[in-house]
Amino acid sequence: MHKYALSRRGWLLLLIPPLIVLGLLYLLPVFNLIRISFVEYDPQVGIIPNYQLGNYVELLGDGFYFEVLWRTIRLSLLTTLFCALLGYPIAVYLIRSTGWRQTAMFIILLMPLVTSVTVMSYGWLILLGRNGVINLTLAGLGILDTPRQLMYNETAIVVGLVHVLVVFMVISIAASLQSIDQSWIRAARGLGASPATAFRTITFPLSLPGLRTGALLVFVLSMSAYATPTLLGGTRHKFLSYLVYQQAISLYNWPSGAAMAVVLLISTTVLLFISSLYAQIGAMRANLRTSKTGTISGSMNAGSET
Amino acid sequence: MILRAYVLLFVIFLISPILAISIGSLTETSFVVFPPQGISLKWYFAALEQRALLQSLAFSLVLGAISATAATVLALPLGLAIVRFSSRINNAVYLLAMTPAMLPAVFLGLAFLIGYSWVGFGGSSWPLIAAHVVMTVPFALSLILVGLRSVDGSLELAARSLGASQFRTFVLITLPLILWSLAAGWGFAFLISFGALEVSLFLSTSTTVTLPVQIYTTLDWSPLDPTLTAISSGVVIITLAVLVITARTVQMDRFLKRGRS
Repeated sequence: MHKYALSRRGWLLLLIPPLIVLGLLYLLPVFNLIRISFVEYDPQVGIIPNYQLGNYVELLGDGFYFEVLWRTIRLSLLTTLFCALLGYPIAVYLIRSTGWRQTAMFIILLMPLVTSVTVMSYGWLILLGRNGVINLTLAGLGILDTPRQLMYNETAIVVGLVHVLVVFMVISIAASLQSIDQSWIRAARGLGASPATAFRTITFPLSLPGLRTGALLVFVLSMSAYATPTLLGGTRHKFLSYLVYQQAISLYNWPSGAAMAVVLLISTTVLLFISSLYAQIGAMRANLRTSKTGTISGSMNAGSET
Repeated sequence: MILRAYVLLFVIFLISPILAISIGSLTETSFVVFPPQGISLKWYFAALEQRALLQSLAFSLVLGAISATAATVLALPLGLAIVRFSSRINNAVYLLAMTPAMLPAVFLGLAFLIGYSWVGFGGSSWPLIAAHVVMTVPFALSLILVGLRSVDGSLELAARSLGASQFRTFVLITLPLILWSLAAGWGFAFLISFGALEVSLFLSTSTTVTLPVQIYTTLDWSPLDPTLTAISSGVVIITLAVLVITARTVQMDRFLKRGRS
């Protein structure tokens, strides 16, 4: 493919107008939010432009806040795990299927993503409620005598989150499966590897980057989930996002809400950083192993970590 | 064989809430049950008489169309600049345009609320439009990038060497070649705006209520109101229509080839 390039002037002319718009509408408010998280707030006076760490210190001393933060992290990790386990086979199917089956699968996968979360949560409300299908079925089978409340608990939150987020996992894994050179697998099979061995030693290691991208997306999105946990978890199982909204809108305490929003962002970023560090250590180990044994699977492993 | 069976179960899991809403909305009872008792469209007619719901539906459709158009208009020059000129600054530009999709929605919502209230809302809908544009640019941009990267530069070089101006080359050669990605980007931007709740929740005033906000607030105090199911299944139909049209203009597996960026 030939390279058709812009002149430097053309490049600048194209870049500057959208950058001004994004700067004004996006960057400025974001930096302003971070600034506001450091100002003082008094219920009587409102915002006092006096920069300090009070809002953050207050959060650190709040047990309820920590409980909510911990729930958010814990359920997000669970959601990520379930998305990976449930989504992997679907990605394999997506790659193998062709034509209308593939298109239909794509549309079905994208449905939960583009349909409003409120609408989706509402659907779960109908299914999991006391008069919902699941209760009726269980009662019909004689497993339950009285309808049980299946909503408003942490399981319902995870079900709802996996449902809307699993598509990110499937598409990420499918993208990395797609890029695998099929001749590697044919070679392995030709040399006598069983399909299971070929999968374990070649396909799976090479799909790890996709798995990682998917996990990253799912984790970030479920950390910041708002509607699903609020509607499916009820008042007793709040997520951090809900606290931010409550502080800022119901209590009108912008600085405290801003501090919470910043903590939400930072804790997500820190957890991602730890996981990427862990992946790098894994890659280093794999490299060491390769230099010792020099097996094909070892070098493939290392290649996939980059 | 096992994979097929699993895929079937998974598909049922994915579509069950949507089916529950659309089938449940046909009930004759005054609260939603699944399976529905009796079959009627009476709640659809009831929904048509709720002015607030219809107004918010119209508002969301217009908001989605305006935001998606503005996002596409912003994303096209950004995409061209990123693909057609190599510079390290492009990485920063890409990051700036893509991060709204990664930041927590409440973080964005609160930032927009505080930031835009400097200028003042005055009951107008500009803050919602501005916020939705920022939120949907990443989706428009990522599709436009897929489109631009799939264009063979030699066609444009040929046009240029035959004397066409840069602008003429763009309009006659590049634009038709990437039109599908513009349309798909617009479609996705529209759907993201149409379904967005959190950010809109921060910016809605009593005169500017989007449909998700309306459904969410109603859901809070009367959970099993069948008019809500009726309007929700209306939403599902709109969403599905846009999605199918978008999927038809794009060969979906192009997404999978975007790996190297």
